[in-house]
Amino acid sequence: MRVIFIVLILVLLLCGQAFAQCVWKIQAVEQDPDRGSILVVTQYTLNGQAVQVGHTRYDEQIGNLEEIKSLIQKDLQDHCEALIRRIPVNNDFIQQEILKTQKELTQPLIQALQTEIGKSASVKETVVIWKGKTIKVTDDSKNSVSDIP
Amino acid sequence: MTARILYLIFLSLIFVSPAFGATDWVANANTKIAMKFEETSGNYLDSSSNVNNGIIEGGVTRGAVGKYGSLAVRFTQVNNAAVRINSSTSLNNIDPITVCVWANNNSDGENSVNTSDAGYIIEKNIRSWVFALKQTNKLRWLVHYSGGNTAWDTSNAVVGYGSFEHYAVAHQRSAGASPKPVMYVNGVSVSLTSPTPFGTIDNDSGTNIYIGISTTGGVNEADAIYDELLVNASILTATDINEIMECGLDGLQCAGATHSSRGIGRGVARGIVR
Repeated sequence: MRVIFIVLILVLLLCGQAFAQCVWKIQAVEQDPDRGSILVVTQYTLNGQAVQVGHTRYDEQIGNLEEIKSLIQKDLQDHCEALIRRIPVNNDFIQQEILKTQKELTQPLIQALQTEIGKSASVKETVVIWKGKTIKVTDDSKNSVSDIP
Repeated sequence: MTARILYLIFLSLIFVSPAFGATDWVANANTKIAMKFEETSGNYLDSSSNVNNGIIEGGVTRGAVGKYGSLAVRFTQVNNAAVRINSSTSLNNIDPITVCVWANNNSDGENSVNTSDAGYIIEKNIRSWVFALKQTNKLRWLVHYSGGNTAWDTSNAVVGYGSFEHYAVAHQRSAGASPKPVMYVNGVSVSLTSPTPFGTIDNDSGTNIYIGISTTGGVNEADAIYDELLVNASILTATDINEIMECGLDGLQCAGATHSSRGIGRGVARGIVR
């Protein structure tokens, strides 16, 4: 029984490793009949299950053949990464970690800023500098203008 | 005994495989505006969960023939025609951002001599971010940084007149020049100029969005029909953008189609956008 249990665990681990991935596979490269662009049809497999057939488009202005190939691969890679991010558990994890990190960054600042509670100051005037003039406006509207020396 | 072991292995495969997530693009928490311009009276309704509805101003023409659905909105450079979306928390400082729209241009729209911007498709605040046309037959993505405006223009004339074309731009605005924005015309990424932004992006909290005109009012009026406008707070991939182009915001254009993952039963159900 122990042997069976170990075998089962191994199988689980192997399966997990094998399926924990997004795979893109180009199925067809065609011409878009309506627009004349290059149409790449790609099958996406997520964790062992076919989940999407995606389309991407390209034209000759993107670059030479190698540059187009490179962009196709980048686009498909980007989409696979997006599919992995969109797995609900992963999406939640990303959001939780972002929030956690943000809280860790601001929490000590919030603590340190507690000393500011109760502080107060008054402002009575402000100055606008404009084309050689100093324009001063005050809370009681006793405003003035002066030349900047 | 062997059968029991196989059964256990079968069960383990089911449970070990992580849950499958959303695959096709669908409106989600990142979707800030999804507007289809189908309404014949009242506001244009936002199909995202944010209720960022569009309020008509000036001489907007309703009921133009749209790309999908049946109707779309037309701007003809008269009477300060615009669709205003009032400020809301959901529209503050969107970054990263993807904007998509179907456009049928009659011309480049109203040119602004000072800025060389032509008709505005959509703008947030005073040039906080703008997706626009630029004379002649070009597209422009403009972002305002603390060091000034930065405009990424298509290197080539990519805009046509008289038929619907799909435009999209995706950009991490705070990243500035690297990575630079990616712009798509009819699903194909197009070459852009390479300006260098300086400083940080604006804080555009509490400001309105305008469709079809500059927020400064009365300038850069569009001369076009717009349909299926999307503002999304994420970088959509080339595959996502092609899917939105092909299937529409609600996915109905591809419902039941065999070319997509709708084969796994998403189909119409994917459309949480109405």
